[in-house]
Amino acid sequence: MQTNTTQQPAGTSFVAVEGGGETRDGEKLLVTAYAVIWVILMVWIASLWRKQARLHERIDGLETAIDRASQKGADASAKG
Amino acid sequence: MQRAPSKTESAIFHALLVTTSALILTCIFLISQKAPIERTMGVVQKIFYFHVPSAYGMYIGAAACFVGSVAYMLKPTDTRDALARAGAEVAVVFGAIVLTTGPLWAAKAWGFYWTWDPRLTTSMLSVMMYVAYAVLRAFSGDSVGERKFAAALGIIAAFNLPIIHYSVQKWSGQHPTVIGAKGGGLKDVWMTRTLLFGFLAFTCFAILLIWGRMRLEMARHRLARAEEDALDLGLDDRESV
Repeated sequence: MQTNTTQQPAGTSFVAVEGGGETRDGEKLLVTAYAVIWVILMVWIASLWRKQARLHERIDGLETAIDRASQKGADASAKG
Repeated sequence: MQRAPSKTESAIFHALLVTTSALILTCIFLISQKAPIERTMGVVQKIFYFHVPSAYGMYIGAAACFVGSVAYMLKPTDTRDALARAGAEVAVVFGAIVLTTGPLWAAKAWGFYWTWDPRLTTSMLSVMMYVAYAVLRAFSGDSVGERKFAAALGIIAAFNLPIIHYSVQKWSGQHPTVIGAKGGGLKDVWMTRTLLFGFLAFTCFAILLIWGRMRLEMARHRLARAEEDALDLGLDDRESV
């Protein structure tokens, strides 16, 4: 295996690149963009799911109240 | 009194759900398999095929919010309020996608994630307005006054949309204008087909999300009314057994 034995001088300063110019891996950026889309959509759909679950809880509560009221009504008519 | 969705309405909704799923899967296939790699930018240019349709989805959401808000101002009903609210949330979701996929593409194409280009700045402003709408609806009450305040915000937010569209033509900037008479154009037939398919898929997707969110909001309104009626009749689900 060939190794690079040339010694690089130690860095003594940082110079800002003019107008960007840094190259990035396009594939990684593409995959990240796809992932971001699905994460955003999934988070929103999960929040809708939670809202729907809360609605179901409230419907259950209402149904329980209606059942209880009709049971009371039936008991009252049986006694009467 | 609000009515429950009819069987026909539910059938159409589910048909749209299936159609949209098929369109999105086909769109992914076209992007990955058919659309060619762009000569100068490389594979990252494929972000274009969902970045632009997402911006279009944001416009659809914003238009729904505008229509719902104007209609609510003219005659306040739960349906109109639900349309405005659903539209604003969809605008936020697609706007967030645009504002994250755009900079990822720019990182490769321009060498930096963000610049205060007219189109980028006006797009961000627009998304922030819809975020403000969504936050207002989430943390304020649900009375007519608050709904009207939100409707006014929904109307004002829509005025920024034409500015986003024409910002590149009026003030130039770095954002490309590939679509349009003066733009560079798409130089491959599969680029055009994939983009058009993306528009179709994301149009159906935006309509589906608006409709789904609206159905949920309508169900919440109906339940709230039913709970009020139950309390008026002396029914209380908190009553101990």
